Amino acid sequence: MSTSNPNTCATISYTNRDNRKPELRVSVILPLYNKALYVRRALDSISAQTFKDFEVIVVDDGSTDDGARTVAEHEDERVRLVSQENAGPGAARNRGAMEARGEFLAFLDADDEWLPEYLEESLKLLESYGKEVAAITSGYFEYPSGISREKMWRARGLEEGTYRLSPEIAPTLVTNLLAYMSPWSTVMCTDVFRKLGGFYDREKCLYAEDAFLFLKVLLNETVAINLKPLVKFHVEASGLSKNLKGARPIEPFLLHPEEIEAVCPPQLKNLLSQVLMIRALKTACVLGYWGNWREAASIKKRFRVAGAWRLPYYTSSLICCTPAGAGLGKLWRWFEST
Amino acid sequence: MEASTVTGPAKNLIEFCRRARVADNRLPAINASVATFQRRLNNGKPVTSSKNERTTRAAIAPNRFVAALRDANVTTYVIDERFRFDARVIESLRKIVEQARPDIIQTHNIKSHLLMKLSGLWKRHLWVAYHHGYTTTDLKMRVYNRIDRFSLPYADRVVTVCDAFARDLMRAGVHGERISVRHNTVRTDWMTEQQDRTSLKNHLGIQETERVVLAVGRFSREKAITDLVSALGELRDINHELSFKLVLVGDGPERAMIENLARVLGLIDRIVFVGQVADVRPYYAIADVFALPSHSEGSPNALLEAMAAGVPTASTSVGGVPEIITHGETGLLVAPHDTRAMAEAINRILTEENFGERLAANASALVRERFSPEAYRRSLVEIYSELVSRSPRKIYGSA
Repeated sequence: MSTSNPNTCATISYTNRDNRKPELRVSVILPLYNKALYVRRALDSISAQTFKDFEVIVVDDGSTDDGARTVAEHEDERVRLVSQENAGPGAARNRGAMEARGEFLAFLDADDEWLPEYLEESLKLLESYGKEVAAITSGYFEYPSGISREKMWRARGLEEGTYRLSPEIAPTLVTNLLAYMSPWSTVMCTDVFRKLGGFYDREKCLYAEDAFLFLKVLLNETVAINLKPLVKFHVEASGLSKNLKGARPIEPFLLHPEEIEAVCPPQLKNLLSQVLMIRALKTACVLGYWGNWREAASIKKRFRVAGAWRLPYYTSSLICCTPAGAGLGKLWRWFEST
Repeated sequence: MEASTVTGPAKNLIEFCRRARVADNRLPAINASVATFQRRLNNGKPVTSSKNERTTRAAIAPNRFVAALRDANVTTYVIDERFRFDARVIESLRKIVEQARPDIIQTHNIKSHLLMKLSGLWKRHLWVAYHHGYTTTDLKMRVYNRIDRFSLPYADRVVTVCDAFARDLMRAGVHGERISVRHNTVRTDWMTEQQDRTSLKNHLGIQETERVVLAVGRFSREKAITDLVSALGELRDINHELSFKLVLVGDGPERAMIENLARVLGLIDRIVFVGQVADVRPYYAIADVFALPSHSEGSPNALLEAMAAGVPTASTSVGGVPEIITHGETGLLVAPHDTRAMAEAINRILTEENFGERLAANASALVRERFSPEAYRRSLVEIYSELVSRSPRKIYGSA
């Protein structure tokens, strides 16, 4: 880790906490924004954990419904409620992490649930892998269908075990690891979280604010993958990334690649530029599909690397970055809507 | 030569034309004229040009390159290009050659190389092609290299700016003995008058005690100014006592990213964005170290300028840079992307007793000896004389 000065965390300051011994094993952080309907379910799943040594910090991100009351009524003395002006999920989780006293951080979104053994199993695995592992990500059941996505991730080349990036690793494996890592299925070391500056917390970012952090984690730390599903991920209740109509926003790590590059070890820079190119091509395809082919072309140009034509999405990006791509996208949407 | 502004290669060309006009030290005088393309901005009627300019067709308002050429009193032909890939420019080119009857034709970029090949002029005229390298990577460069592979092997001589490019050219099928490497140059009388350091420092808000790190160039991705910013973040961690400012001269697409990174690293108040300036000399005068963090380079003019200005340099060893700089003698070299090494190099120059001065003195002596325009001109004239004497049948009119 090269840039290890406290200023990296622009909006979070952790002074006077750094030298204190952690008082707890785990701090669970639950950002809450207008999810009064679901938050009780999430809190119940936390209280039912077989592992008990944790605190829960609910960060009310300026909700306009009565979700905060539901939290206050929840009978578990380990739960604390913190409120802030609306600033987006990344900022809310960072706020929670600022208050955290635990050695590890676990995140749960208000609309998702953990299985009772989630924390216990994650911590057991972390212990067995040893100190150098900074984060562990578990599998999930996708709801409402309730199917496990384990097979899909295995098909994408993920296996159980620890991963440390080296220059020889295929960039597609890195993008898959990055896609697999979600806050609600990851337990990570508090120190690493703070050292890398937390989630992306500017501009009320709603999409891939977590990947901004996890990409830095992957580049600098060893991570563990557990494919056994231990989380119930509810697609239907999510208001953020999955249910968008229209082009999704551009990922923060594509908007500010210089911040990722600044913490990337020199030997991984080449790998990083390929990873960014894959994501840029994918984003370019999405932008082109929704008609914004000029921006698609410019983002593709910014992240160009030698040998890009070998990367996934390259062929489709050739069409998507032209007016023809935008036209095809329009045609397809019209076709779907009729 | 196609250029709309006065870029690095354009500057060298003008300088050469200016110097080569007079004969001295046994070198023959060379009368150079330049043909350049200018695309019509609107498809409206062409503007009538003044009579003393010998233009093939009525030209539109001259761009900065043409203006600079006329300032230097170089005969200039402007080829009117109606649209992209206008085939009629080949005919215009033939006419110009007919009129100017040159002994040697030189071309400076992919388009002129290709036109030279397509027009068949290479069969009757001696052709010296200048390969300046391309800054783009990826597909565009691959296509460019393909096209060059089609045209460059027919040139009588290919002049390129560094050994790294020479190797690329050989791989592209250009005969090794036809390639000459001539680095870019810088005028040694360039830093003449004593610059007023204090007032400029005051103007930029730099304390007299603060050390100045300078970077000059277009803020594009391959110039990697963001690497330099992270390196300065590490420099602050290595050496807490050192107070420094980074002066950035130039502008470009990465500007917003540089600012953002500086803000995130808490360095924004240590960076002075100067923007594009007409005269860079005063900035070299206040610099304590010049940094070149690029990921790809040919023969960087800014580096040569810094060396001529007596500023110690820390550069990445890419392209032709290691051919100019000897590590520890005339500057410091680090691996590209390695921000920690760059931080350490800058720290060493700024803190080690007499080290920077020694590097700067060696560097400016080297520049004077090897990278002066006079040496450049002499070596080019030698190439030309050799070509003319070796293959007389290609000289115009003798066929």
